[in-house]
Amino acid sequence: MFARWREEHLRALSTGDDHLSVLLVTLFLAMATAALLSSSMLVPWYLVSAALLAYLPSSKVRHFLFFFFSRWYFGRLFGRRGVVKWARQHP
Amino acid sequence: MSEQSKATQTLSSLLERNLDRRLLASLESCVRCGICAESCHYYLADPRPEHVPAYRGEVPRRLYRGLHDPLRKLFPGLVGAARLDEGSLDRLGELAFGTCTLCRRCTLNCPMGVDNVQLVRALRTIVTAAGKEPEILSQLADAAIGREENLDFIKDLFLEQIAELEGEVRERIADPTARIPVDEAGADVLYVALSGAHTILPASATSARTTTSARRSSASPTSS
Repeated sequence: MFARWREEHLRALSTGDDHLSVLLVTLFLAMATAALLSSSMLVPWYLVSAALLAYLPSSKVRHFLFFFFSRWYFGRLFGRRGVVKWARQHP
Repeated sequence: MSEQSKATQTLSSLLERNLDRRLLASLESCVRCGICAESCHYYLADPRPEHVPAYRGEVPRRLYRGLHDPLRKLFPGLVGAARLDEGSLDRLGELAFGTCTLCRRCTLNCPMGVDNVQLVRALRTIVTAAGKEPEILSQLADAAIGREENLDFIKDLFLEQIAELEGEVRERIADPTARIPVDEAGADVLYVALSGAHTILPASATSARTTTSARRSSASPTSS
C-alpha cells in the first residue's frame, strides 16, 4: 500500500480501485488477526468482511478468480514453446 | 451521431471482436503490482511510467472497463474506465508501436501470468484500424503481401548480410571469435529478424541507414 503511494511508476498505474481494494484486503487481514486475539474484534471483522465481499465483484480483487485462467494460458503457451527450462526437460 | 464518434465506436467494437477468453484473463488478472517494470528493457533503459508493461496494458484495460465494468457509469474515475477519443489515438500509436517489442519477458516475470503481448496486439489492431500506425510498417506489410515474398526466397542474401554483420560485430566489440549463429539447433535464444524488409522495400533501408547515421553523429562527442 505504501509502495503504491511512494513509487512514481506505481502511482501512474494506480486507479482509485487499486487503493480501495488494497485497503480493504489489508483491513480484512488485520481485523482477522485482531479477532483471533480478542473476541471483541469479531464485529468489526464481520463488518470489514461484509464490505470486502460486497465490493469484490466490481473491483480488481476479481483477479483471485481470473488468476487461475491466466496462469493456465501462460503455462499452455510457454510450456508448448519450451520457454520454461523445467518444461523443456520434462516434455 | 457525429463522424468522429462513429469512428471511435467502430474502434471500440474492434476490441469487443478481439475479446477472447485468453485476452479476457489478461485484462482481468493484472493487479498493477509493477513487478513487470524491471523485466522490460525499455523501462531499464529509460525508467518512465509509460515504459512499464502494465502501463501499456492499462490502456486497452481502461477501454475494456469503459465498456464492461459494473461501476463504469457510477464511478468511472474510481475504476479507471475510459472511452476512446481522437486525441488519445495519436498517443496510443506511439505507445503501441514504439515502446514494446513483444518479447514477453514481462509475462514470464508476472506472478499473475498476464500476457501483455495480447494487450499490446489488441492496442495495435485498434491503432492500425484508425490509421495511426507508423506508415513504414503498413508499406512493408503491403509490399510483402503484394509480392508474396517471404524470407525463404532471399535466404542466401540474408546469410551474406549476416556474415557481413558478423565482421562488423567482431570489429566493434574487439572479439575475433564473436559470431551470429543462424538456424542453430538447441539454442537458448531465438531471434527472428524482420523478414528482409530492406529488400522488399528499398525506402526502409534508406530510412534505417539515415536514422543510424543520425544517431551515430548525435552520439559522437565531436559533433555539435
